[in-house]
Amino acid sequence: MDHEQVISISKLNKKFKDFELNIPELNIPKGFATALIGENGAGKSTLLNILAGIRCDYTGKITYFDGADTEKEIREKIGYTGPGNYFIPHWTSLQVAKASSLLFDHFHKDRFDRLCKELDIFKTAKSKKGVSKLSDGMRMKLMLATVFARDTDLLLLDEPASPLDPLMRDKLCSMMREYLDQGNGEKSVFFSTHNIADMENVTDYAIIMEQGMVVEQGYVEELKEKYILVKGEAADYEKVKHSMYSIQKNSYGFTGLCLSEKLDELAGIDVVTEIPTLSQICVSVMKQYTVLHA
Amino acid sequence: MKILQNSGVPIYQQIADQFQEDILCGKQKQGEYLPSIRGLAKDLRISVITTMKAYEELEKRGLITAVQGKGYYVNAQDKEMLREQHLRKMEEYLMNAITAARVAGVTNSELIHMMELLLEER
Amino acid sequence: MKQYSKSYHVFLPSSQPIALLTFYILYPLGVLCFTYFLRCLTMFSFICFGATGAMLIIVEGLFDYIAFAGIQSRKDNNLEYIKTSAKGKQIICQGMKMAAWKRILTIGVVVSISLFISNIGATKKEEVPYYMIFRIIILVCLTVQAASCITRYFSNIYLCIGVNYVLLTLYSIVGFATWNMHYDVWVYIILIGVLVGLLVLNQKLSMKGVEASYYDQSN
Repeated sequence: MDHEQVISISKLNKKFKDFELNIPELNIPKGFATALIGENGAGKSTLLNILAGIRCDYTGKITYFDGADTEKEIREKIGYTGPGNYFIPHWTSLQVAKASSLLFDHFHKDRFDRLCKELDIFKTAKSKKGVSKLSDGMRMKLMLATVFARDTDLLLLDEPASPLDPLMRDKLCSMMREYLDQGNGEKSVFFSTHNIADMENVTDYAIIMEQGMVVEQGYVEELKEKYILVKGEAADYEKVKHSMYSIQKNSYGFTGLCLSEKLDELAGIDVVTEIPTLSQICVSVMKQYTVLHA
Repeated sequence: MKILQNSGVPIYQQIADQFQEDILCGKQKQGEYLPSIRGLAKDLRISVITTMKAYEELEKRGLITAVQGKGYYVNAQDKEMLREQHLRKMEEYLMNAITAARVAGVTNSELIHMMELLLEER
Repeated sequence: MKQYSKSYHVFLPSSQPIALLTFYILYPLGVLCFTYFLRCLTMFSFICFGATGAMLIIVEGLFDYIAFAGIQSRKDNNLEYIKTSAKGKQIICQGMKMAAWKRILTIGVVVSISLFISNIGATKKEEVPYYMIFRIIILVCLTVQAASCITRYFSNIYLCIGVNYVLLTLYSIVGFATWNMHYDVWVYIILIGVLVGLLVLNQKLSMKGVEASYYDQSN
């Protein structure tokens, strides 16, 4: 599948003391929800910080949208949420709205108020509660309300699902689908997560990162055809080991992923095949590259 | 539309099959536009790429056509193709029956006999 | 002008009307009331007048902490949301400029009125001369500005208040020691020059800190 890109990354590199982010080439498709999946410390936040424009010390080239926009226009079109020190601690929701109107051209206060109510962020509409007094989940909801209240073409969300309860995660997925639907192919979402299972139903394109590098990427449907989940008898473990991409054995049998092109090598062996979930694919891929020995 | 998450049949295929049924039995009329891929994804609460693949599958089967900027509309269905589709489905169901017969240890003649009884009933 | 004050309010706890009221009106009023209170205790005029300066230094130091603490260090200073906007740096810059103007204005007005309060019922000998207004305004502004250049590196409130107290002591010493001295015109020129220099330095250091926070954070 070949689609337009909303972001093109070329030769991106950023060195830290004991870590290096190195992405020779990466294209994020336009009009879809792309998930950046990786362990803690894989480099996801760094990449998102760079794309959001809050980290500028890197080498490489990043092209946004059609490449014709000025820096100001790009920042106007992008909505970013991140962990940590995002809002000034003593801000209330009113100040968030006021600051947003000042900082961005297309901030809709009525939409913001409606979202705050919908997401049940504050007990009362005109709460005087400071941002620092909110729980992590509430703060994330406030950040989401702020970006969704603007007119943007790209959402960059750094681990949006992590602090949210299951009900809210589901709501977030709905909000993302609604956003993509409104954009009709022009709006895109790029989010990072270390728990893809919750966001699997909204993910169109997956990028798996390990230790600062992209180790696998693709449209979810294509990945689910590239990797097949294979289950079989323990006795056949030795026979299949070398054909499998990843394999786990227990006393009842074995389970693992096999590249579909290698499926023929399993002909004649008593196995059942299944479509893997994105979560299973990610775990297997990450296991191949991780320094953690599971 | 009923989508089963764990049936072993890919979701995009289930969607394609169900739309195909609707088209072949006339629920979706010729020239009508199917829901947008993102609108459908929103309603079914699945990813956009899945609905897109479903529509691409339907296009491959010749049932719909993509129009740049407008979406997918239903093709005119000829009687030949309809028959073709139904025959394919029959074959699938019959294969299931044969497999079940094998598992149960039912012989071919017994199976054919059962078939004749059922036809008489109908 | 409106844009500048809006930018400044981004950094203050401005959603509660009482907070803004305090910043602009209640605090100057409070300082003047305290001066009057001291005068009523029959403190010497120059003590009342000097005390006004001291209070201004402490309160302005506190307000600067509330608005811009830590902005000159490159560590996480809660500006991420502001930085995602292309207008972010401009808002920060305008906010700080507005803060500086407001500070000078407040100090000017309060010191001026304080002189009259301090001189209530004073004898000719005790009376604080009018040119002291100008001198004390400059000294207080210098102290506050110097403090700001230093305290904006830190997010710890005790450290910031501490620095303010140290500089306040310096101001008191200088103020006392030179009270009866005559300041030549060139002294005032130099002092104003230094003040302007500190204003510019403060602004530059703060913006430099903001810029630096876009770069090399140890992850």
